[in-house]
Amino acid sequence: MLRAPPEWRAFCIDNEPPAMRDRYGDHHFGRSCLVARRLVEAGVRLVTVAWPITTTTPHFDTHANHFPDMKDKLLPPMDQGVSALLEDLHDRGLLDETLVVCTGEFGRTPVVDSKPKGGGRHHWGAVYSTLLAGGGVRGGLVYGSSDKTGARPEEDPVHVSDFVATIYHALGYGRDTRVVDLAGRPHSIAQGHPVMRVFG
Amino acid sequence: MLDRRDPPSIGGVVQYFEGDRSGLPAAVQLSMWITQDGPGNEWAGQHAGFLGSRHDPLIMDFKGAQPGSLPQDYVLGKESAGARFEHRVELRSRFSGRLLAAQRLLNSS
Repeated sequence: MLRAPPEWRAFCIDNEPPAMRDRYGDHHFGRSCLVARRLVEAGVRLVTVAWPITTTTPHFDTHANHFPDMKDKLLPPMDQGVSALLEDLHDRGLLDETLVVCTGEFGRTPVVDSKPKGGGRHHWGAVYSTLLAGGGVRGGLVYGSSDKTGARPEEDPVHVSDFVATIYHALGYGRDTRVVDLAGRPHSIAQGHPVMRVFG
Repeated sequence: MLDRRDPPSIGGVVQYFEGDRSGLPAAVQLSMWITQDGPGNEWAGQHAGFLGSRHDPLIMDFKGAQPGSLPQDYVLGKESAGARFEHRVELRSRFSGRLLAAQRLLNSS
C-alpha cells in the first residue's frame, strides 16, 4: 500500500469533539471503544476490542488483588468505555443493527481465596456471565441462572458453541453456513444453536 | 496458542465472506494481540486458522501506544514522505507505463 486510503481516517480520533473523547475516557480502552464506533460507522462489520494490558490497567486474571484491582483499575475504564459506546451507537441510530458483546473466555472461582493480598479468584470454566446489548437483543433481560453459590448453571445453560452461534446469527450467518479450508473441505462455522429468546 | 490448524475466529469467518469493504477490512481487532506472555505466545482464536492468512482479520497492534491515530507502521516516515515519496510514485507509474506498452505490443503481435 503506497498511500493509506482516506477511509483509514476512521482510526484517527483527532477530529472527534473533546466532549466525545472525554465521554469515552482518555485512556487506552476508552480510546479503543471510540475507534471501534468510528470503524462500525465506516462499514467495518466486526470490531474486536481486546482488553488492553497497560501500565495503568492490569489484566482481568485476578488471582490476587482481585477487589482493589476490580474497583480501582479494571471496572472504571471498562464501565466508561462500554457505556459511552452504547450511548453513542444509540444516539447515531446504529445500536439496533450493532451487537455489542462483552465477554471473556472463562469465569472466576465462586469462592474467594483469601490468602493472596486483596483476595483472589482463580480460573472457573463451569459457569460465568456475559453481556449482550443492541443488535436486536431485548434490553433488561437476564437469560439463564446459576446455582446459589454461582458455581454451576441452573436454568437455561448456554454452551460456548450456542453463544458463538448467537453472534453468528446476529451477523446474518445461519447454522448451515460453511467455509472451505485450503484443502477444499467444507466446515460448519458453528456447532451450536443461537439463543433466539434473547432477541426481540 | 495460535495454530493454523485451528478453526477460524469469528473475525476470520467474517473476513472470509466479506473481504475488504469500503476500503477497510471487514474484521478489525484493536489494539493488540491477546496474550499475557508476549509475542510468539498469542492465544488461540484470533486469526482465520485453517482458512489461511489471507482471511485473517486486521489485527491493529499499537505496540503499547494509545489507539486514536494510525500506528507508526502505517504512516510514511519522514525519510519517505514528501518529494521523495512523489519520486517513488512517479517511478512506479513509469514502470507501469512500460509494462502496459510491452503487454500491448505482445497482444498485437
